Amino acid sequence: MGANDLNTIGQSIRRKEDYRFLTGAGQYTDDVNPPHHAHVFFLRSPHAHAKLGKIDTTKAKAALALLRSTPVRT
Amino acid sequence: MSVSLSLTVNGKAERKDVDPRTLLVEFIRNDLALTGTHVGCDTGQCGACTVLIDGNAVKACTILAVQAQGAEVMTIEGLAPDGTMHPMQAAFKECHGLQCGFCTPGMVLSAIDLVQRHPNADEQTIRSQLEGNLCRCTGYQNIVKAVAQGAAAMRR
Repeated sequence: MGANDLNTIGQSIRRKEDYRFLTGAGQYTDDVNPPHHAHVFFLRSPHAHAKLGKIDTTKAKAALALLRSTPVRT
Repeated sequence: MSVSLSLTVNGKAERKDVDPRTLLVEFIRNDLALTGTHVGCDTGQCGACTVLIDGNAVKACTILAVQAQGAEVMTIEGLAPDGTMHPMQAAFKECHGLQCGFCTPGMVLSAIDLVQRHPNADEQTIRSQLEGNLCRCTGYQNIVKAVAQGAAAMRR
């Protein structure tokens, strides 16, 4: 590292990414829409403490292209 | 049920059939694929979805797409049509008025609206006029500096 490389110390360096953020071309997670991707929905129990019996997914399957439903205990 | 919606977005005439309950921000992002307009809170608080409707800054999550029937909408993508940044965009870059960039489109469009209404806005005015735009990086100092510089550039 030569002495000239230290010239940037203490300087405000222009950022390379600013142009795309300033012109609306940034890519945040919600901005990308890849083909064949799935969405996840969390359906929370209306009961504070209860035993999970079975989940009837008939209506969900009819309304959506339901790939899978998985009970999760938290 | 759908409604035929005709409006101008960034100078381009658009005509689409939309569900009447579609929010303007959903229409812009999903139907027009202009993802520079962001959804930060979906409750009208953060201002990330701000667009200009007939020149006025509006939070696009607070109105229905059909309410913009016949209007001229400007999103952040329309601000530098030939690639040359608007003076306010240039000031944000110059003053490091952005970090993650998520609030930036809304900040820039709100800033342009506030300068149109207050061409000689002082720091206090800029701060109070931008209270509807939240920066999750908390980079307010440089945002205020950028707006002051952008306002000066717009006066020239």
